Amino acid sequence: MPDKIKAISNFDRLIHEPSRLAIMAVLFASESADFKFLLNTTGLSKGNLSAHLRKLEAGDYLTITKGFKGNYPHTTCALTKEGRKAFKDYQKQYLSLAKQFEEES
Amino acid sequence: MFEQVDTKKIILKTKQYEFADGLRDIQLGIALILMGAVWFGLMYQPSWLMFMIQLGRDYGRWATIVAFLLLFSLPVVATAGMQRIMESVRRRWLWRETGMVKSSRILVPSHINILAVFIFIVALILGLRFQSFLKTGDFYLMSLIMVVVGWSFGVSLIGLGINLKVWRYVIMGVIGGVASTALIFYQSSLTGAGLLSFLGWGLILLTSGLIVLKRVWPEIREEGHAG
Repeated sequence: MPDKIKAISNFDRLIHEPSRLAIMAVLFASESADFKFLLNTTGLSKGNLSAHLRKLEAGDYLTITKGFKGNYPHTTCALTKEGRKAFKDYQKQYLSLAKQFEEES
Repeated sequence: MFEQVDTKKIILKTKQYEFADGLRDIQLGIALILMGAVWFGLMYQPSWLMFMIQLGRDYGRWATIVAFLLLFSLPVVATAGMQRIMESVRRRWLWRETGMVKSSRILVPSHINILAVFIFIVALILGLRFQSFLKTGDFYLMSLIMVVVGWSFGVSLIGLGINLKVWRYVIMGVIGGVASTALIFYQSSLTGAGLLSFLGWGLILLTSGLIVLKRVWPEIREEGHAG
């Protein structure tokens, strides 16, 4: 069991938080997505989503591009190379741990 | 263990979003129909070719090369133009309330693409090998190429459908693939075989796209009013 606890503590904390994990999953599946799509998919409030995006940006996991579409502001997010790798690694770690738990139960 | 986020489901839903409104089918369908038109124009109307050659005589061979490039780039330019139109339609109406996504470039898994190429090569070799057993016409080889290209395209569509769980692509891949086989019996005209192939696939995709668009349009309008 201590090994598993160690494995859980090794999880990437920045991604492990459920809302940020959902954001990462959306961006992993696409080249980029705008703020509105992320808002709809994650079900977060605007403020919460902004805060999570800023944290992921600070961790160099995604880039935020602010621009205009016509007269309206338009924010687009995309995963960086590091972000893509971090998400893949997280998934691998998570799946292997989940498998271990399954085998034992 | 800890709070679960179904990342697989989120990834799948995000990838499916690109195909949810049918515009991608319409775009590909129109591109294929245009390719068919270019094919038909070149093959059926040799006067086009004469015109190109005449251009070369009048203005030098570069004029012919530029004219050919323009002609062959027509479907590409049209596809790029449609991409812009599609983005604009989505931004203004279809995705106005749900947000924009730029889809990933790799939607068909690489092993499916390898399988499609493998089918192309094997079917071509077998087709040539058994040529003597079949009653073949003058355009057997070209008809055979059209058939195996059809199969390969069908396999790619099926792969895309299975990968994204968008079952209409599986149905289209099977229908188009089977229908492509009929081209082997159409050896009287190379122009006809090519045209049938382009038009067939184009119409299948266009019809599918229009059906999907018609189905989702009322939901989108409702969302728009609610939003």
